[in-house]
Amino acid sequence: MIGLAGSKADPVMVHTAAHCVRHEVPFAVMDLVDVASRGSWSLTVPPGPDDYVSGDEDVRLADLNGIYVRAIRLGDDAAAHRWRGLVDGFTAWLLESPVPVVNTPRSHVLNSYKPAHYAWLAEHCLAVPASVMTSRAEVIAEFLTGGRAVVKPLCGTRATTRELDLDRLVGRDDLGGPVMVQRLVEGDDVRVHVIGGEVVACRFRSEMIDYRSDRSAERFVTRLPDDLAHRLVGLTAEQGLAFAGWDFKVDADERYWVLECNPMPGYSFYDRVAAGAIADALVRYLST
Amino acid sequence: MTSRAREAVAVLAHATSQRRLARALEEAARETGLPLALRTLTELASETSVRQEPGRTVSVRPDRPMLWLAVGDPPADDPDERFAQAEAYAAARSVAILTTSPVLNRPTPFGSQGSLPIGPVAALRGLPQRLRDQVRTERFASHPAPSRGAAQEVLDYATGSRSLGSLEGEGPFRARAAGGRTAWVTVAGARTLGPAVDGLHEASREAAASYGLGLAHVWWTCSPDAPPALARVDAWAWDSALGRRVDDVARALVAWCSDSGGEPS
Repeated sequence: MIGLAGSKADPVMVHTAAHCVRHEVPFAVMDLVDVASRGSWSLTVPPGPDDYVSGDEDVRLADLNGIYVRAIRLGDDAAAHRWRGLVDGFTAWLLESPVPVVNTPRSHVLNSYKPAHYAWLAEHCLAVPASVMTSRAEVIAEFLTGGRAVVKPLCGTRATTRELDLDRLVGRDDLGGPVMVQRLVEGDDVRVHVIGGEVVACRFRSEMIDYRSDRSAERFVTRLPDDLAHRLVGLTAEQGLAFAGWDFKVDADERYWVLECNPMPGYSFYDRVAAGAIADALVRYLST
Repeated sequence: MTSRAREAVAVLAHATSQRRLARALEEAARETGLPLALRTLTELASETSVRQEPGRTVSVRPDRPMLWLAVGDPPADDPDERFAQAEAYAAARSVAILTTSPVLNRPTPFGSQGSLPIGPVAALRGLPQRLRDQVRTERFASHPAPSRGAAQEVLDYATGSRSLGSLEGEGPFRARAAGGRTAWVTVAGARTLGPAVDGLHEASREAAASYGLGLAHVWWTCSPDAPPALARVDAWAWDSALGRRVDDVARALVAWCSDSGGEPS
């Protein structure tokens, strides 16, 4: 039996549970938000045979073969201390879990610090578009002389990618805070999911800057160049991750430019394009 | 002609929760003649640019020796302000990672201070095996429970209070077997501060080094009939965490800056 630890309000968790139902994969749900506010738990570190988490379901952790975790907290400040107590204990337990965990808490967090993330990707021989982080308008204006660019959050918060307009900088000196600007790469988008040693890639063709905003974008499963697929499997593991979502732009010369590696991929959208291949691989990883 | 010492920067909340440390650093820097700038996370983020081009090394301007002592601000209530805080923190942390000059407690892909894990238990259990042998089993429970015999150290998350006894109160709780008296050792640059117990300073230095920390606090439980047990490792540098050691820590950190000499690490 595999364990799903997260929130029933998270569409990715719902998608994973639905996949398990359709394919008759035994699973147990640990709704951490529910457990923190109304449930109970007893966890020992190192893990013991009687450890349990109880919310809508009573889950004995020793019965699990693998655990998929998406610990997303949703509001309710009144239960903040209970959430902290649960997450402290569960995180410590997961670090010494005897079964596979997707993803272990001991993994890279660089995705939330974009300049450092880009540097890490470049150090590992991936092509990364040029970028600049600055509060100074003239530095960005100079960067824009080299070509079109997009603006992105630094902290990893999801946002629609927008092209930066030079006119918006005219007359400004200090931007009031740091801004992350990256060279725009024209071409298709490819989202690659790595699950253990398996790779599932989806390609998107759109006229919009951010294909996620384009419901009519053409979409299909694609095959990565073997050397790139092999490298992504290695780099995913090197970050301490078992499951990651890699974003690429593919230019007119079929060169792959990496945009980022997501350590907690919201994969349900892509799984529909891939006809369930990502969830299949995830369940396989957690069941072995 | 003598060359002027290269400016270093200390990143900390110099006007609020780390004000005493900031003043002590200024004083120690003045005594040694080290030019030292004090910057908050937001100030560092605002004055630094990072440029990356394919096939070239990352450019950080300005690039200078750094004491990464930031503890961050409490999250703002307003969502836009909270986003601005997160952006400034992401920028500052990236600068600390990418600076080529020496950085004390440089963040890594795994931690905000060296590779120290965020969770208190993870910080203990991630240590090298030789030190981890001295770490006690921990229990986390949502509700009160009667004592199982041996005395326990108990943290009640509802109140933040620590006590000896059984799991009583609102909870949830974190508990482990009680040891003896607590010994607190601070590792600051080349110095260690704390009670003189055989081997404790050396072991504390080893624990700090295993996480790449030049400033760390290592807490031990010492009982008369057993080896000292590791109780906690952290790297907090706010005033209340440093207590009366603030001046000694400041002098040790300024000495670290001077000894580092600005050579790339």
